[in-house]
Amino acid sequence: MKNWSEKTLKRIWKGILVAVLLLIVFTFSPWVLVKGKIDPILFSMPYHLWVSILSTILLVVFTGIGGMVFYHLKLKTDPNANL
Amino acid sequence: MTQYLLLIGVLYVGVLFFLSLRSRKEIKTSSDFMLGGAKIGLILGFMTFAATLFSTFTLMGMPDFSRNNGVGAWIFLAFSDAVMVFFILWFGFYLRKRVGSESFGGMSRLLQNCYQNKGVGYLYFIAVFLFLVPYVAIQIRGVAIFLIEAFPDFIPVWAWSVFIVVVMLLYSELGGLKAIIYADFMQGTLLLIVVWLVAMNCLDNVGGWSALFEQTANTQPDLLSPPGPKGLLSPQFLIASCIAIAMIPVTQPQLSTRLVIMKDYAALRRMAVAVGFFAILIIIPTVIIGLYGALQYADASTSSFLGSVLLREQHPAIAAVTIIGLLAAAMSTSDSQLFAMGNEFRGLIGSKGENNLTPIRIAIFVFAAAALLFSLVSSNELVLLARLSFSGTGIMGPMIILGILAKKPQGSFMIGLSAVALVIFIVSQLGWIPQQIFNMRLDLLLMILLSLGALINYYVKK
Repeated sequence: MKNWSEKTLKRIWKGILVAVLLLIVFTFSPWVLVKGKIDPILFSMPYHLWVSILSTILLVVFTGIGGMVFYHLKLKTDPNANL
Repeated sequence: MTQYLLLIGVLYVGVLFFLSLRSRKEIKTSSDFMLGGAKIGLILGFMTFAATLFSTFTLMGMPDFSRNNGVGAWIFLAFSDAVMVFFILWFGFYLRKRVGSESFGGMSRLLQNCYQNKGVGYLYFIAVFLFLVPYVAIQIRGVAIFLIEAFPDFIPVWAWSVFIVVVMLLYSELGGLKAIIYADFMQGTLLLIVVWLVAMNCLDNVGGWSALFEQTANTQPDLLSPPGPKGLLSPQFLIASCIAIAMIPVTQPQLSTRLVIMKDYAALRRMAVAVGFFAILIIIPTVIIGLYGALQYADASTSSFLGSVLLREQHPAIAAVTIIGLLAAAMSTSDSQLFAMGNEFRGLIGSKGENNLTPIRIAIFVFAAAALLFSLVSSNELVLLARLSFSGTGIMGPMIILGILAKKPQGSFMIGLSAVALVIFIVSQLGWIPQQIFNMRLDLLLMILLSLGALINYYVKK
């Protein structure tokens, strides 16, 4: 990642932001917040629980990747930053 | 259980005071006392952030919240925490950049510098004081009602509350923030172990993971999807809660301070990921305990349910660890908040507080006393009180973000707007005006208006 260009890092960072935003919108949408829907069940968990756990794990994974990208992006673009 | 409790309790208090005394040797200035030397690595940073974030509210409040409202409790806290850790990547960077290499004198002073306006520091301090008091109070209240269950007819609830506050003040006063951070490491680990031990016992009693959901589906199917049997977890409630929780590192000084004192940004971003996974690990068992409670103790009171699940059903050794774990969880959050308030006060009094700890210690004592009083009159709805704290301080979020992001002072428009919004929020909580306007929750509406106000302010002043 150290050798990636500023343009590439910016593009990936924006991609991550869009993905996170879509994930948040999806989690608060009627597809997830649906009353009375229990099926499909996964690992014995009702639909709402496993979908929201999956969303949470994805978001934390995005945080890990996003943190690396943002760090390298700021190394290139913001020399005065307190990194 | 008493023998186990004495043994573990003496060990715990001994380690606590050993850490305090060890940290005390390193204290030379008020900055050492309040900011712990300001160079915290990944492991300590992660544990202190997690222990400060997860408290009695998590170990006692969340199982009870899940018992009453079902699996939607996951989005309420775990997903919102995940949004918060992502937000830390971005906000933590700009906050650290803004603070730069100067000594951090608290958010109040930082905001005064950003806006070049004294009033903004006082507004922030008032908001934080008003809404951190209930948050500290629920830690004290939670543990006190639990101890009453553990030792009925021993001493009254107020005496337990006073005892908790005295221990908390003593050890944090001795060793400063560094002592708190070391203790947080121990307390965070203890919290995680305790909550999983209890959850495993619940699963064992109910017949396993699958049986837990099957029995819930047969008896209380409403618990398996939002908004839950009481209809509380509506989309608006969950979205407003998510915004308020994501704002915690921005608006609550005990967590902002931890972002600033991290050694570098690399440690901070790794800490954010670690906190995210810790949240998942610690909230899963609270949902298990909650659903188990719905099956076994559907009609029991909060204290009776918690007393049964956390104490009476456990092996005496585990029950003793649970009591100490709860005490530890409450203290790790409360002392961080007390300290953060002390640091804010230090920032506001400026150079007079640089090398004199007496006014800061008095401020911490006053804040602890206010929380103690509130704990004696507050309700047992721990999660809803915590949410009130998050929403109340959240009102300051857009103003803080604007001040930190902008390269030049942003005038007084957002300060005035935030002050008005704070008054409206307080008045609505007192029941003088409705908490819903045009079918929209007032806290959500205020956050939307304040965010728009901050955006407009930014582009006008650009």
